[in-house]
Amino acid sequence: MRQNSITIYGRPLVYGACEGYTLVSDEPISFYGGVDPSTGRIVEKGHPLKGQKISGKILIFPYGKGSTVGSYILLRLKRKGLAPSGIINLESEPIIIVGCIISQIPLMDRPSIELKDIPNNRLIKMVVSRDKAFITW
Amino acid sequence: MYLTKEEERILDGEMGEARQLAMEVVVKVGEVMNAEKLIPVKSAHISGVSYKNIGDEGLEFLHELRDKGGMFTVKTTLNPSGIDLDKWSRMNSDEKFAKKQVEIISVFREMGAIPILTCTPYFYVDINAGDHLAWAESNAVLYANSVIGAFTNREGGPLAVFEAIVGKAPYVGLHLKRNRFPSVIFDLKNVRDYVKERGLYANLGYYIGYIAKKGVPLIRNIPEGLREKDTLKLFLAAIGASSGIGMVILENISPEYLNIMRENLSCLETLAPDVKEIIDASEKIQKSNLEDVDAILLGCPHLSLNDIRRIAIFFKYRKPKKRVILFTARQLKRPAKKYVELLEKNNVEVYYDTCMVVADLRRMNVSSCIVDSAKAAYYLTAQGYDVKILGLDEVLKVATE
Repeated sequence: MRQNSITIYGRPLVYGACEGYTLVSDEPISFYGGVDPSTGRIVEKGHPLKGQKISGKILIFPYGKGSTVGSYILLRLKRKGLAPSGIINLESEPIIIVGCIISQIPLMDRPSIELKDIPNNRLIKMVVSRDKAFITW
Repeated sequence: MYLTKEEERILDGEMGEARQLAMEVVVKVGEVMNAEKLIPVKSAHISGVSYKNIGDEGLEFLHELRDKGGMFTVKTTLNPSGIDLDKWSRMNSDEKFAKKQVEIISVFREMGAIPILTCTPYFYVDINAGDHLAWAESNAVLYANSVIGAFTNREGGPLAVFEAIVGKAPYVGLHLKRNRFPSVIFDLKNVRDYVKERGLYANLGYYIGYIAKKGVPLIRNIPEGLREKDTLKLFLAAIGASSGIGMVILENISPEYLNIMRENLSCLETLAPDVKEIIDASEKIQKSNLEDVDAILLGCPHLSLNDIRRIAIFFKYRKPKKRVILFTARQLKRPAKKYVELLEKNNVEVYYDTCMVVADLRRMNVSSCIVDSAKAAYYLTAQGYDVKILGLDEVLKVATE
C-alpha cells in the first residue's frame, strides 16, 4: 500500500536538487577537526554520529560550530566525492553557508518541523530554488 | 537586503566570475543575518592560510578564484602560515608541505594580499577608531573593536576572502553602534592585584570568555598591567579562544567606554569573580602540575617589538637552560635585528611567518611546553600536547632553571 508522500518546506539558501538517505544529528557539527576530509566520516570525540559516513547523505543538523576553516573542509570533501548530497540546518551560519556555496551543495534551513521529526536513514528528495526549498519522501 | 546598482551588476556577473561568486557569498551571508545592506570596509584579514588547514582542495580553489580574475579590492593581510618561509628546514618541516605553503601564499599575493603573515595585523596596518573592517582571526577582531574602536565582526577565514574581493561586509552585528553596548559587567576588584602580581592576564581572559560566552562584556577595575598593548593582546586572545565574543568594553581603555559611561547600566548583571574561579577556568586547558617540558613557547599572539626587546634583555643577563622558541611577524625582522641576534646567540630560536598553533611542533621535537598564552594552551591541548600556562615573568624565570 502506498503511503501519502510528505513534504516539508524550509528557507532556500543554496540552490540545487538531490536525493539521498537522511543522516540526522541533534548535535551541531564541526567540519574542521570533527569530520575526516579523507574518509568523510565524523571523528569528533563524543559526537552522537561518531564513525558515521556523511558522504552522499542528506545531512541534517542544527548548525555548524568550530573553526571557520570548516568551509574549506566541505569543499575538500566535495572534490574527493565524499561530501553530503545536501544539507538541512535548523539555522545555518556562515561556516556552512560559505562551504555550501563554494562546494555547490544544496542547503536549506528553518524546516517547518523539528529536526528530530525528520526520519533518519530515509530516502528523500531535496529541492532548493530561488523561491522555495522543500524535502519530500 | 538593499543592494546598490553596482552590487547588483557584480551579482549578475558583469564584473567577472570571481567577483560574482564573492558577491553571491557575501550577500547570502548578509541575508541570513538580516543585514539591511553591505558596508564598505577599509581592510580585510584572512585566516585559514596554513596548508594543513585548507589542503590541496583549498589551494586549488584559490587558484581557480585567481584564474577567474579574483583580486582583493581592499588592503588585505594574512594569518600565520605553517612554516617560516626562510627557515622551514630548521623547523624540520616537510619539503612537500613547504612547497604547497609557499604556493598558497603566492596565490594570495597574486590576488593582491600584502604578505604580512601575522595574527597581530593591528600592529602593522593603519586602522583607526570608526573604521569598518572585515577581519577574521578572533584576537585581531577583539583588539580592533575593544582597543582601537574599529568596527568588525568575527568573520570566517573563507568569508574574509570573499569580503576582500568585494571590499564590503554585511552591515550587521558589531558594525552597528547599537550592538556595541554592554551585555554583562565583570568587576575585577577581587582579583586585580593577584592577576597583576602573577601576570595571569591570559587566564583572566579565558575565564571571562568561558563565563560570558557571547555578547559585549564591560570590564571594570582592570588590573593595572592590562593597560599595555602586549598584555592586552594575551588577554583578548584568551577571550576569543573560550568564547564567540568579538568585543569587550574595557574601563578607561576602549573608545566605546566614553559613550557608555553616562548610561544607566543598573539593569545589567554584575559578576565579581574571586581568584579561585579565575584559576579553575583554565584547568581544563592545561596540566598545571607539569614539571619537565621540551620547550618554552612564546608568541601567541605574535610577539611585538617590545616583547622581543624585553625577552632579549632578560636572557642577556640570565642564560636560558631550557629550549626557548619565539614566534613573531617578519615585519619585525629589521627593527628587532639586534635583539634577535642577541637571542640567537643565547640559543633562543626565533621564527617568522608562523606560530605555535599552526606549525607542526612534533616535527620540532616538542610534545610538552610552557606558554604564557591561554589561547595557545587551548589549541595545543586539543592537538594532544601537554601544556602549562604561567605569567610571562614566571615563564622567563623557569627558562633559566
